[in-house]
Amino acid sequence: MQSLSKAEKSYIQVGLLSSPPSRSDGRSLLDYRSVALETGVAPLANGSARVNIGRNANQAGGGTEVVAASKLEVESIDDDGGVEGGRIVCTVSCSPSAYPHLSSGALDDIQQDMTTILHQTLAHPSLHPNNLSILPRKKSWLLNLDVLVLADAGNVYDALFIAARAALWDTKVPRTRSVEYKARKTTGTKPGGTGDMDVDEETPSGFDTRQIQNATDFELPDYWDEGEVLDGREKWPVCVTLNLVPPVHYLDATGQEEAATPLRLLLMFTFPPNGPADVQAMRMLGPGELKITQLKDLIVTGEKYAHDLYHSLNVKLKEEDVRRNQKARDRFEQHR
Amino acid sequence: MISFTSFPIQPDDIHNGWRAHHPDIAEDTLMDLDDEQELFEAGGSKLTYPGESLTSSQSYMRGHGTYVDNEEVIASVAGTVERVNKLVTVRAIRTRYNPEVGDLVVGRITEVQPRRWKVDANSRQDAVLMLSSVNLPGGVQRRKLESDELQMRTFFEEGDLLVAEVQAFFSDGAMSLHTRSLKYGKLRNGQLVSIPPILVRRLKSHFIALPCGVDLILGLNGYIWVSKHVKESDQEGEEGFDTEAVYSNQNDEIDESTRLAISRVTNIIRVLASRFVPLSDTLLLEAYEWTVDQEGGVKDLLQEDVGDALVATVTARL
Amino acid sequence: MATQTGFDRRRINGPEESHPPTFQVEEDFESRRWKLGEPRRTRKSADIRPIFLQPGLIDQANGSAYVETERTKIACAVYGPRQSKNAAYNEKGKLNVEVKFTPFSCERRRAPMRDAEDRSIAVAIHQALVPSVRLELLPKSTIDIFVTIIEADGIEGCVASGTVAASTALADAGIEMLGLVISCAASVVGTEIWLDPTEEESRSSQGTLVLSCMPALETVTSVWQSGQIKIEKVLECMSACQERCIDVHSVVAQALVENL
Repeated sequence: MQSLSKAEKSYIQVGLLSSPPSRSDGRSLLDYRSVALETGVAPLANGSARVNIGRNANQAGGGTEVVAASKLEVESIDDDGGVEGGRIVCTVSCSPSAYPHLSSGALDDIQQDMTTILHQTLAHPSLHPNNLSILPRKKSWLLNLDVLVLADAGNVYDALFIAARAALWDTKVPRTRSVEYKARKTTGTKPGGTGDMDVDEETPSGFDTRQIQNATDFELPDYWDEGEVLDGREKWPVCVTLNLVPPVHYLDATGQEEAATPLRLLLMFTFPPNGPADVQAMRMLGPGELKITQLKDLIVTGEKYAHDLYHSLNVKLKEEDVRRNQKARDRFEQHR
Repeated sequence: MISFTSFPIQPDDIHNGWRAHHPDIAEDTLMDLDDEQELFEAGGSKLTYPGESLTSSQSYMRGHGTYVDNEEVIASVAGTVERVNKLVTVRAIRTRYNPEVGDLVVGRITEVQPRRWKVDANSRQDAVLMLSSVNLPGGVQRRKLESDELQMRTFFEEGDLLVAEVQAFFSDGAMSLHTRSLKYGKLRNGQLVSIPPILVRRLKSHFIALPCGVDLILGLNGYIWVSKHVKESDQEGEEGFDTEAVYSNQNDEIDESTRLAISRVTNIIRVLASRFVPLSDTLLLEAYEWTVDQEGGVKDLLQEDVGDALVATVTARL
Repeated sequence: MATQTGFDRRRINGPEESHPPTFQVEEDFESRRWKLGEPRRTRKSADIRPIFLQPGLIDQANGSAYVETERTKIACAVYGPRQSKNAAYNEKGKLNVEVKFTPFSCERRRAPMRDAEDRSIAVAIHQALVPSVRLELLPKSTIDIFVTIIEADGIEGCVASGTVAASTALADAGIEMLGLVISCAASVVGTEIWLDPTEEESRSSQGTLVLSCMPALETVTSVWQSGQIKIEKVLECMSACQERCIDVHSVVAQALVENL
């Protein structure tokens, strides 16, 4: 939060409340700055994305920059805290360069607040993907979603959720196959029956429950295979931050605008393929109060903004997939 | 609405290029000490880096950005070499603002201390504004009273923006500011833009009035204040000037066209700063007229292609 | 037959026939377990648990309150307004909320250190209370609110009861406020809305919502929702919570007045 003089704050507030409303950079109340998005920025992660809102031209930097990456770990159920069906843990860390004026204690607090909001929204059971299990009752995947805030020029929560969604969209879960070990029987006792020596060639799928009752371990059928996409990637929510100067609301605030109008409403929506949208999470932040009718109207209009954001984001993510496939193909051609 | 773009693509041949040069680098770094005569005579600006030897001649005096070691003058910052007669200096490309006496700066109050304010002026240290250096209500020659010290926040408080002139330096290098003129003081009716300090050249007057009703104050420390135009006549009045008016936090009524013009000018300044174009009033005037001629709205300036076109047009006319 | 079961004359023997002990509790637990689709047990879906509220319990504090609703017990102490320890000048007072779970408050013992959950509840209570306190009358001062959770029955219940306790304690301390802040939690189970859910109920619900408001001014100060709920259901939940908050408000006001 930048410090502004009373005159500057009043200038911004009066500008927003006037008709027609005016903002410091000429945008309308509902305009976003340009959002740059790229997936696959961390090759060692199972899925990653980088988002920058309001970047200056010519790589001059600036803007709100966020990088998200997901990494999958194997954990044993009951021992390490693993849960049947896998689990997701989200963490946000803020680089001190994003908030140079804050002490490390205040930085920790901001980190924790962002982590709580992100984790409580994304790790909710209603969004849980169903391909995070490896061996039922024995082993499962732990998906660590780590998000790093590199710079904050306003609207950091929208950036966090866009990056998280893009990284989860990009995540590939390695395919596993369960393996059963049986002691080698000495010859002469019984003729070789079914299920004798190596069993692996008969279990193509780790989820075939008839054959893995005794499965004790798993292997990767193809070491170089990236894996399958994370299930339910259409369901991940998008976040819209409505900055409030009652009776007006606006989107994508810059750092100065956030300091002048600290009251905001975070709305996270998820859009199932058929049916109306669901509210995945909601938070009110900042000093201020609303009438309940205003709050209800904001939720309804917020859904429209989230809808636009959702569709534009999906189009961009598909473009990114195509671009990376194309790039991989070009590289392959080059080195052939 | 929202629109997604991409990050600029890193060209892959950078890596190939480096590999090709690698074995040759060792030869390039050894600089012949005889060469620097030619360099200085050529008259062009030479770029240098810390540790590069500039001249070994005894007749050259060293200036800012250099140091002497073993009778050699060596650069201590990365920047352009400037030679004026016998003085060699290196001016850094990106550096904190280096103040001089008489500079006009725009600063923000960070602390209120007994009989002085601490002002952030984008420099190495916070500047100091003494209570005795500001205009007190009741006339220019008024005696300072005890009650003034207790009421310092009625004049300036934390977060306020002001324009002031550098009066002197303290022994530790901190600037001492003063606002003892009617054109200095608290800022209102506008917004602040921050750019790298070296893009603001020393001009005759740092108060610029654009014809669209927008006033600009170009602080030499990189802080630029864009505001609604204040008529000259309103600034008159030496006799018993009104504290309420000068130190008030109330903005005036600003109409829509002025706000739009302020936003336009702000965007222009940001675009020019992001492409490292030094600012001057003629440049800003031309840029403003160009954007008004364009069909697009104020926010279109934020897009990369429009920004490129603006800079190309404006620098071409120089 | 007795000799075959190992009857030993030299020793004291146990009974000839013995059976392993049976744990009746297991079956009861299973049958008590709520299953999806059944209506709510022990109360109606729109009922909240009875609240016991006692202000002024802690003498050393400037203001305090103790709130108890079935299995949630929270004590709150308010110190202040007192001088800010920060050197920086702040024009408006600061409200500092700290929450601590006692190690025996949850089913599994909690470590005595402060962790992320403590902070998230503190932030929620702070968000709910800040618009109600007249901080502009208290420059350079801090109000410290310490919330101790003695027994917890779900996070939403802690936030809701904690807000009520803190608001009562602030009133007990004589700090100027615009109104009392009351919170109510709701969860969506199937097609029904259940108010004031227990931990078990909120875990099996699709989503929960906590609404904090000032019934005297009819404004909302904070809303916190997690889980997947349709938009119309969210609006319904908020209305239901607000109505319930008005009822709770009269209870709190009465407790305060009686205590004077």
